[in-house]
Order: sequence, then structure tokens, then C-alpha cells
Amino acid sequence: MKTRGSLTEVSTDQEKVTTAAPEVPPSEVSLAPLTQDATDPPARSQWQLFFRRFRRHRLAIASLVLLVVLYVLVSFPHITAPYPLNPKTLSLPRGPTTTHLLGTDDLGRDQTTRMIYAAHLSMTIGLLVAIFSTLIGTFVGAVAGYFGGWIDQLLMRVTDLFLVVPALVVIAVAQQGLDQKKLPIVGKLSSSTLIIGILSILFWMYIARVVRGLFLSLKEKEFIEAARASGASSWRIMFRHILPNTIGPIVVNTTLVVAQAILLESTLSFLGLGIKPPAVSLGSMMSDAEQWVGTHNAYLIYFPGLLLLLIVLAVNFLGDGLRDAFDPQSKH
Amino acid sequence: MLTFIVRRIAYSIPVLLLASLLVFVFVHATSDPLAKYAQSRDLTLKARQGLAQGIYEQPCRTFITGSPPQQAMTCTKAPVLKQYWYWLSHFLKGKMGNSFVTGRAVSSDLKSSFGNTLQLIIWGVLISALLAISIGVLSAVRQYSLPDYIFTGLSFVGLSMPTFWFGLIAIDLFSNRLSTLLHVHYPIFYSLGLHSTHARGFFPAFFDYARHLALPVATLTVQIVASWSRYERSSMLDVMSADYIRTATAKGLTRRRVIFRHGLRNALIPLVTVMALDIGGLFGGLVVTEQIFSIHGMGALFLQDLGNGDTQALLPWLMVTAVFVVLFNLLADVLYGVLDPRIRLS
Repeated sequence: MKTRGSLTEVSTDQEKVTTAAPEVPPSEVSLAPLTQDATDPPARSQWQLFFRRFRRHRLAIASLVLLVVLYVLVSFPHITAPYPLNPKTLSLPRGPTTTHLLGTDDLGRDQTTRMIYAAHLSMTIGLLVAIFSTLIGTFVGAVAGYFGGWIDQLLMRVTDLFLVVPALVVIAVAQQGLDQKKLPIVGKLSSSTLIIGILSILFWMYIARVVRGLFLSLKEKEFIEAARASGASSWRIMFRHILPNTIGPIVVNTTLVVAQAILLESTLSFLGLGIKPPAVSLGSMMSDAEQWVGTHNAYLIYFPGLLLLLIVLAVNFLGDGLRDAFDPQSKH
Repeated sequence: MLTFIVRRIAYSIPVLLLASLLVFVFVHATSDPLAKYAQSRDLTLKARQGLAQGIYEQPCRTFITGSPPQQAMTCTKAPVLKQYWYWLSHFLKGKMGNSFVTGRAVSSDLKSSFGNTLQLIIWGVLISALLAISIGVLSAVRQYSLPDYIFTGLSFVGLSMPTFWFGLIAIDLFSNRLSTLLHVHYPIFYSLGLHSTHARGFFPAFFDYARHLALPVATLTVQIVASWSRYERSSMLDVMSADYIRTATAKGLTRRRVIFRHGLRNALIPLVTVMALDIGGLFGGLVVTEQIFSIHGMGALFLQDLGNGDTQALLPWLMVTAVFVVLFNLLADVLYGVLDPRIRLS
């Protein structure tokens, strides 16, 4: 069975230059003969199988739709927001009314509008942090897992080191140190750029560990041996042959990083160490609203928090659905 | 077993040393204790020189002979690695110096904060462990039942919620609105500190303590239970499908005995490891909870030192919390070996 899998790898490998179709993961290879009956349905590619399984996960589909719609809505705040972010006239906080659906904050600014801007920033930060940290983590994990030896030892010790230092602390100290300072090349950083950079540096370790583990087991497989025998270079084997097989766990972990990054960003902003005015994030909105705990203005805490909960919950459900679809055997 | 432990400890020491170097260089590069006062005209030159006694200077001076200004000059110009060495040699002897800002001994601040954080951790972990194990076992034994779905949903909500939001909502509802609802003029659950001054006698004091602890511990617990119960559920599911469980059922043991004697005991092994890892992170990780509930613990101390730009106090804080992370990592590894003989032998 394994030879069948590896032979197809070698044969498809030559044409497959532009399209990075996933190679058959080892678990699927061993399952393949079971479905090769007389009543066999037409052969499905890995992606078709994945989408079939993913579609069955209704909650994940709903979450995906919700996230996409929400992100589109908040991405064009000048169209979707009912009021300008910083109106010229200021007044007292007022609870939800027909003109201000979610009320106004202590400076009389419309809360719906602020939440739209804030959600856009929070979601963008989550997304970008996930992308950057996945890129770093995948690269480190791939190199460590594939080459092994002292490179592996070195990279994994560095990873351990990053894991020992508490994340919140590094961020806080770095914020304090780098904020408002002119840096070489990039100049003065805005609070959101800074937080994206710092969070990306802090989230890559988990992905690196996962990718390393996968590379360690995959590099011993026959199809890699075949690729090496046909003269493929190390980098080509790593990124064209092994990497496509690790896409499932990577995507799932990236989703989880989105959720964690959004939560950590909001926590930092709440502590006054993250997003700073004039930018507004869901965390900084709640930080401003902290003073209203226990008063009739407490809605200023409830609404941004609920939106944040909704976003992160949707991301987590999506991750859950993706995991089930990529790895049908997992019970989690 | 002993060799295993020794080997693990030997491995932790370089990690800690490297971490300390990293932290030192990091703090050294990013913070300037004088930055705050750069614009201040009230500060005399002498006071400024006093403030400039940085993280490395106080220990450094003991190594260098000469008049204080000469010492200061030599120490400030020393290369970072040398400064690190001065700092580390003092830190290892337990000399942490005095805070720039408050002037108090850093070690005494750390000690009192640590006590407060420890109280939160002990209660939080105890309650979380009990809840998580019960929920996990129930969900696993009755997989796909209504309670399983409810607890799964709740754990997702718990993991998707920012801690500070839960804390604020808890204060809003249980410290303020509940009192209004019951027409009383005192909060049912306090949202400030750990004790009141007026509670006297053992039972009133304990009751008062509980009313202070309820909300912060609940805030801490929600997060922990959400992840631990998922862990316990999946490891219990693994165990319950094992052959020895079938054997135990087949030889006629009661269901209760199969679940608790044969199932739970094995399903606890991975959870205990995760618990040890998580607890290690809690010592420096309760920043938000302590801040919201005004508890003078490690997290609050960190924020205070950070706000003051107090590097002299920050460095020992970072080191102590890192030590706890590493220590509990070690504990997790050792526990795993102790609880599961298969690991020890291999």
C-alpha cells in the first residue's frame, strides 16, 4: 500500500510545480484499500474529502460565515458605521436608544461605531499575528525537524527559552521600552504595529513544535526516500514534499493562534499596554469602561466584551471543525 | 528515577541561566530608569545620580574600589555581560537590592506579594481540580449526552472569554447589583483585597476571607476549569476504551469501581502533568485577576514596578517567576515518571 502511495508521489511530483496539491497523508494511504471495493465511489482528492467532512460540521460553517460577514462589515467602517468615530459634539454617556443602538460612551461617542472600528483592529491583529507566527514557526520547525542533529537541538533550546519567559511580561516590558521610541530603519512604531510584531514573536513556538514533530516522522517515509533518490534537494523535499502533508495541523494551530492573539491583545489593551488612543480596540474600550462597573453605564463593558466573546468563540469553533475535517481519527 | 531527576535538573539550569541573561539584556536594552525624570527640573543632579544606580551598579560597586563617583563611572561603562555577571552573582546570594522608587527591599515586596498570590493559586487550583475532574469524568462516561454537550459548550465559552471581562462582569453582578437586588448596603462579595479590617474571631474572619476570595477565585477558576475539564474528558475517553477496562467490566466489577478505580486513576496521569505545567505559569500569570480585584500579589507588583520603570525590582520578579515555570516543568516530568512506570522504565 505504501509503495502505491510513494509511486504516485514521484510521478505527480514532476508536473506539480505550480499547484501544491497535498500529498496523501500516511493515515489515508493505509485506509485507501478499504474503500477500493467494487461499489467504490469515484476517487476523491484529499481536498474533496476534507471539504466533505468540513461541511458536515455545521457550527464551524456557521462560524466561518459569521466571521467573514463580520470582517467585511467592519472593514469598511466609513460605510457601515452609523456615526463618525470622533464626533465634534461631546455629551454624557447615555444608554441604548433608537438613535444610538448600543448607547454612547462617557464622551458621547456612539458605541456601535467604536465597536466597528475596534473589532476591525482586533480581528486584523489576530489574523496578522497568526500569519506571521505561522510563517516563523513553520520555518523553524521544518528546519529543526528535517535537519535534526545540532540544528534541531539549538532551535528547540531557543524555543524552550521563549516558552519559559512569561508572554505577558515580555510584551509589557517591550511595550514600555519600544513605545514612542524612534527605531532605526522603521522609525516610530504605532501601537498596533508594535503589538503585532511582539505577539508574532511570542506565538511561533507552539507551531514550531508541532511542525517539527510532523517533520520528524514524515522525513522517514518512503515517498521522501523516493524523492531523495530522484535527486530532489533538501529544500525542495522540505517545502514541496513534506510541507503539504503537514498543512492540516498547521492550519488548525494557526486558527488557535488567531483566537489567542485576539484575547491577549485585548488583555494588554485593557491593562493599558496594548493599543493606545487614537486607535481603538475592543480591549481598550473595556479599559475605558472599567470605571463604570456597578453603575447604570455598565453596558459600556458588556457590549464590547460580548462582541469579543462572539468573535473568539467563532474562531475556536472554526478551529474545532477544521481539526475534525483534517484529522477524522482525532477524538480531541 | 534518581538519574532521571538529576538529568532533568541539570538540563533546567542552563535554560534558567540563559533565560536570566536574556531577561537582563532585554530589560537593560529597553528600559531607562532615568527616562521618566529626564524632563523633571525638580530633580537635582545628585538625586539623578542616585537614581542612576541601575540594576547592575549596586552590585557592581562592591567589586570595584575607589570613590563612589569613580565606581559609578566604571560600572555604567562596563560591558553588558560584565554587568550581568555582577547582577547575577548578587542575585544568587539572595541580594536583590532596593527598589529605585519606593526604597524598600525588593525581596520583602516579593515575599509579601508571593504570599497573596499563593493563596489565590491554592484555592483556585483546589476548586478547579475538583470541578474539572468531575466534569471531565461525567462528560466522558456519558459521551454525547446533554450534560456533555452543555459542559463542552461552556468550556468553549470559558476559553473564548477574556479573563478581565469575566472579572468585571462578576464585580458588576455579584458585588454591586446583587446588593441592590437584596436591598443591603454592603457588598455580598467583595471586589477589593483579601481581608477586611473589622472581622474579628476565627469564624467571622474566615467568612470574611471567603467573601473576599469568592470572585477572584471564580475568575481564575473559570479559565482553568475550561481547559482542564476538556483534558480530563479526552484522556478519560482514551482510557475507557482500553482493553483493561473491558477486562475489569468482564470480570464483573461494578460500574462505579470500573470508572473510579480502573478508569479515573489512569486518566489522571496526563491531567496531573498539565496541571503542574499550568500552575507554574500562574505565579506570574495572575496579572489581570490581581489588578481587577486589587490584590497585592505578584501580578499587581509587576504592573506597579513596570509603571514605575523600576528595573531593580523587575529583574528579580522576572527571575523568580521564571524559576517557578521551570520548577513546575520539572515537577510535571518527574510526576509523569512516578505515576506511570512505563515512562520511567523506557
